[in-house]
Amino acid sequence: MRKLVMLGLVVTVAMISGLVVWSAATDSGTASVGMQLEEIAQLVVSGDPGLITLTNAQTTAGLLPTEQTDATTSLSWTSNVASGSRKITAALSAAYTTGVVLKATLAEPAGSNGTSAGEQTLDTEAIEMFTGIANENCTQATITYEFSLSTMIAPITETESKTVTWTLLAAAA
Amino acid sequence: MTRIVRYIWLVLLLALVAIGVTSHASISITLVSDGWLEIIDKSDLIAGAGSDLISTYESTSDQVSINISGTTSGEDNWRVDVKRVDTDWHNSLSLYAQRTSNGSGSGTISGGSQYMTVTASDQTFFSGRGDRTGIEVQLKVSGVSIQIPPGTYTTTLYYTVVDTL
Repeated sequence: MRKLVMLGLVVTVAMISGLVVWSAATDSGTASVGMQLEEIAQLVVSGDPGLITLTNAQTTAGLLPTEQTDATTSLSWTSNVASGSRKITAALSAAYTTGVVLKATLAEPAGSNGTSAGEQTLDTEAIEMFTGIANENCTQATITYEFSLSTMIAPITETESKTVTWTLLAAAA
Repeated sequence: MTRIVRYIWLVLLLALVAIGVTSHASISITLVSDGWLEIIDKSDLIAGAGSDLISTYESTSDQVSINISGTTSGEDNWRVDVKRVDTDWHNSLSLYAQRTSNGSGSGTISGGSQYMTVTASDQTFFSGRGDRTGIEVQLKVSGVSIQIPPGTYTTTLYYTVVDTL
């Protein structure tokens, strides 16, 4: 009986040893994977608006010429910063003749987290047009330009062409 | 006589243990890889401003080269498991791996030739027999979008060779 017990013990120890050895038969190697997402702030204007003209035919006696609008262009942008930390500004390259006023409105496109500042008078100093931009990509936010006079001025015989610069930048800038 | 039989049994059992040690303890896996770092910037926008980022990125087909060695013969079976351990990984990102070459060696290899999702738990990637070198692996990440904040997201892939019966 004692011999049987001894034999059983030896067999058990041998089996356990075998299992231990078996379970240790592994080896590992590692390799890293990284995705580096850079900050992205991209904005594009669809094109130039058409020529806006104020004429005698658009004027009612006793009033200033009726303002004229153009809504044929739009902005698209892509931004991947923290919520609400970017905005869009607009600025004129140079001032128009005194009395000539150019206003612009940037509509709120689908998919945007931001808010339009509504109609703003454009000047050579950048003005906020849209705020609260977060991680978003938006297309075809309509720009509505409104051309008017603040006072009656002498006719301008040559076309006055200015550039409006739209900028997507940090909200604190 | 009984004592002799008992000693024979003992010797046989010890021999079995010894065989176990030599058969399974020395298998090893080595990786040749500098790691994969994908830099995503404005050039990865699908169609410029207003569009989202391309969602899927693939490494080169030989991003990782795996060598299996220390098997007892061309009949010694093994399998390779894969899992990932995240350092700073975004939960929108999915990671995939596929085997793109058989490598070379005396044994065989099978499985893993289609992309499989790599998760935090070990999953069988591919299996084979005998020593093999130059088993190439390609990686893929999907789920990239403009909704993910800028930053570097990293994880580590663990390839584990398991000696099997």
